[in-house]
Amino acid sequence: MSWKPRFLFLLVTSVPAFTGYPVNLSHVEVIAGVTYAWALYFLIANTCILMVMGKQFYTNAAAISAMITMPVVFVGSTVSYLIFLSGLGYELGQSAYSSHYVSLCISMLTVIPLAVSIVGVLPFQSFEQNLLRNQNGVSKLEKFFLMFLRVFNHILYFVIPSILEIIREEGQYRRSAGSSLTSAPELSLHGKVKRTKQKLIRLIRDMIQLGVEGICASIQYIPIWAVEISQLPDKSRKI
Amino acid sequence: MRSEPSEVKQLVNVGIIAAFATLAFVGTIVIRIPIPATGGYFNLGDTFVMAAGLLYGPLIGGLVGFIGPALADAIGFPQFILATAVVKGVEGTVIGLIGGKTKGSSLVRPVSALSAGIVILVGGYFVFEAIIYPLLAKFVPFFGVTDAKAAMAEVIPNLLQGIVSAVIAFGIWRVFSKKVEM
Repeated sequence: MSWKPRFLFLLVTSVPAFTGYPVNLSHVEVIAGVTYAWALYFLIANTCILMVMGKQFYTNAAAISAMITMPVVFVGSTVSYLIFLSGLGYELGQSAYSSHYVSLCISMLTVIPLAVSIVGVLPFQSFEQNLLRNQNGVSKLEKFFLMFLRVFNHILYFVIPSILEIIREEGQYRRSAGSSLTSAPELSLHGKVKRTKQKLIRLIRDMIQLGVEGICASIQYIPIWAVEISQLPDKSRKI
Repeated sequence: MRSEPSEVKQLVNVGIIAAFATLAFVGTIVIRIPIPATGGYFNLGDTFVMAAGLLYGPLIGGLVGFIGPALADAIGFPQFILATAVVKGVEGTVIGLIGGKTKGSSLVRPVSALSAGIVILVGGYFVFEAIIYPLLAKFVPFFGVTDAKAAMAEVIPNLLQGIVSAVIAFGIWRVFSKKVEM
């Protein structure tokens, strides 16, 4: 099957996820936070993705969804529980909010695989190839689209994986370097405050470094690509 | 065939918008801490919107804010796309207008720009969640996710998000604005 009917099918399937119709109209719950409509839609959407994209793609999409959803759900519930314990808010207790996280979990596990599949079904590489091979020339808008596509693919497939690898390696180094400090004597309150302050400064410094690395790696080829794309024959011009 | 320099420049700008919008998208989806009162979430995607405004000016800052974080909202939080696109678009534009392409060592403009960005982030979401969304919800139930009380609960997380993002964006700006001596 070509990408067009698959794209259309996934787009139609995702309408309830992105508009709330008609799934948000039903309020009868299977468990607290999950209505029958959402439970059914979750099953239908995931089955559709499995059918349209195949087992291999579905497995990857489900893994990505779980990786994004689980921290959101667990960190969110932990934060709201801590706020409740500290007396800063959420006076009704965690039980009043736990259904929100169950609902969030089911909606994210439906929406994320759909979004990943819609992006995954688009043949970006052949879009680029078709534009480059076009005998009639390329319009200005198509050139902009080509540039956007190249940068987006470059960041998603090259920049992010290499940055994640750097984080992993630096984390390993820090863990091994930090293990020698675990036997340090107990610190006074002043010492603990100083160490926390240093940790916070280091965290901010690391995040700035990560941001700079990400920007540099993302924009480094843009001038070359701009010259290359601009030299494609214009649609209006005769060669 | 020779290409016009202005076309190359336009393509470079499109590339920069794409790069920062993608980074803002990734920054928004990687760190997500939900705020149960509103169904919204804390994230650090603003860093790249603010940095784009400071480094490249209002047009690029505004477009990055309009595209990147809104795309991230499409994954899991579609009801916030409208508010995010408008608030972060305005945020990037204003930061670019006040502190964009600042030369020299003066910190007044970048700091004022980032402060204005934080105010727009916090105030903008508050206006959307307390006034605009409840109004829209009367006609489209899809927007019925917040009210004034929930909007109040999101002020502190949004303020924190704005401050943390501004600190990182300021650091990024400092690195790129320093002259390299050979």
